[in-house]
Amino acid sequence: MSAIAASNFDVRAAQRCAAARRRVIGLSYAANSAHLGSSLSCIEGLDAMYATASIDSTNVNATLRDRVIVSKGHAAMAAYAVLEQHGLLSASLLESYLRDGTALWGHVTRTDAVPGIDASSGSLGHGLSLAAGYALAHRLHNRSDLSVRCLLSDGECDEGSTWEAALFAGARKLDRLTALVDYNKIQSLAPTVDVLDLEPFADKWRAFRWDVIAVDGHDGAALRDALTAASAGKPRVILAHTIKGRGIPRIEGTVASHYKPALQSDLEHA
Amino acid sequence: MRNRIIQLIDAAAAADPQTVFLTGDLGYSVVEPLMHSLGERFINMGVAEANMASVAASLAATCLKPYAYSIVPFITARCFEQIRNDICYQKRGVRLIGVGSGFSYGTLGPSHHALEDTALMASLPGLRIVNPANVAELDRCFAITLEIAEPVYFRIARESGSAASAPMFALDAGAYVALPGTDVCLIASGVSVADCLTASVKLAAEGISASVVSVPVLAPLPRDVLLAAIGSKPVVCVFEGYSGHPLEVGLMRALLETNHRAGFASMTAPHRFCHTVGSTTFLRKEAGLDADSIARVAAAIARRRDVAVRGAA
Repeated sequence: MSAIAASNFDVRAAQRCAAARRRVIGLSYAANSAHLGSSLSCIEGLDAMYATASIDSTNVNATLRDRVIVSKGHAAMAAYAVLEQHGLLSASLLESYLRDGTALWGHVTRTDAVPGIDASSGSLGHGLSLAAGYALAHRLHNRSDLSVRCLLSDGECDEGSTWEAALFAGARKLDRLTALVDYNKIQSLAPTVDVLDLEPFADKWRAFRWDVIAVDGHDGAALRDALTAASAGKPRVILAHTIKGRGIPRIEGTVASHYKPALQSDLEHA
Repeated sequence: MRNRIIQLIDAAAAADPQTVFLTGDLGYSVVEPLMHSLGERFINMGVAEANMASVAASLAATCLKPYAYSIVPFITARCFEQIRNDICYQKRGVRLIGVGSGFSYGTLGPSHHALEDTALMASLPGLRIVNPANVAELDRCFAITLEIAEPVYFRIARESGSAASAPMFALDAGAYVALPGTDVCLIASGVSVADCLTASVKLAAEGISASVVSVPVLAPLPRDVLLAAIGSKPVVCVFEGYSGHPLEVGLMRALLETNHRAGFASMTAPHRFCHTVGSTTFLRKEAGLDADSIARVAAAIARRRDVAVRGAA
């Protein structure tokens, strides 16, 4: 990518992320929805994943295409808002979020109404296996051109199944698979350091034969570069250092941001 | 029957290059032929059944046809949530192959016994459950499932099963009359069908004509076929598993809903873990699921007498 092209890419990404952040805060307030902090920490990561994947309205129903698995399904508002920015979810559908009789649940869920959602999540620790499955499937289909991206929460790296998938992908050298960990360092009840302490986190992934890149998870250019970096011949994990609740100063870095919905006063940040 | 399902998968793979076989590092002396014929489509997923189930789901999402193989508890209870969320909820056409129904793995112990698996799996909407009594049933059910998009759980005994076979067309209904009779209807699935057939010979010696109905498809349960086979006869349901299995639940519901009053007994494994070592035959007899026990219960039911059934205790 040329410098000018990259610059334009980053400007557009920043615009999309600002719009998605406004949307998330608005949705949380309107629907009284939890997981505001978890959604605000991964907007740039999600946007970069979709922006660097080839998924659009022309191929979204194809069986074989790039895949984005949102394993931290509680970040549903962020996923939906970013899908909207990428033309894969309509505003009218998004505005029905959590309303009775509609299609958008509080955790990311596959629905015929939104073909851009590649997997149902919500129970943590499933997504990396699903993503590895897609990467394996593409290899068996001789479609090594297709990529698979997976958004993980740091909390779900407590799950044994996440590491089953990591071991499998590393052993099989699934080099078209990229995991992005939204490392906001606060899980459901407490800081990750006080729960099972993931550190030394990068070393764990390297020991499982993954390539590791650490970035500022709110830096769109850094995320874009990491997601488009040349293959290392093995799966890659991007440890995206983020701030839970990013964008609303009163909730940034708090456990409560996992549960408390947006207030009317938060809309001024939107 | 283990070898037979591997042969069937081998033939399916030869006809359809989308076939993929995953194993949770099990199947020594059974799966090797697939290793040779499938090449890169044979994948040892390691001892990691949760990952295997989710990977299988995504393979199916790209129109591959994955079979995921392990011993029953490891391919059901161990990865239940992956089956629930990733396979069943998302309607992925994965074939789960569980080897070792009921007490098949006898002396290997309760970790390897399969007594609650069908109740667990039948709790999931949209999952077809096949529990064949013999190779003929397995062959036909396998052939039928080649044509369907839904997920399937094959529960396979280590034993070869009963010799009795059925007309192929009858198996399409999910249940069939393996032996006609007039006085009592023995309804069983899987390995218990053979014991019911043996029991029917004992009953005949006592002047009791027993019908034996085999039910290879436990979900969706072929309710109407079963009701037609039962008619007005008293019923003895036999299953190598705990009470609450889908055949028992479905039959009880159907009989209650149709005001059937001719009598009913359900023979199941006692609701406890085994703490005494035993072979398959020993454990089956201890559980009261051997042919002699079936004949005793069926005779009492046929004569409209109350009967103590061990599994109910």
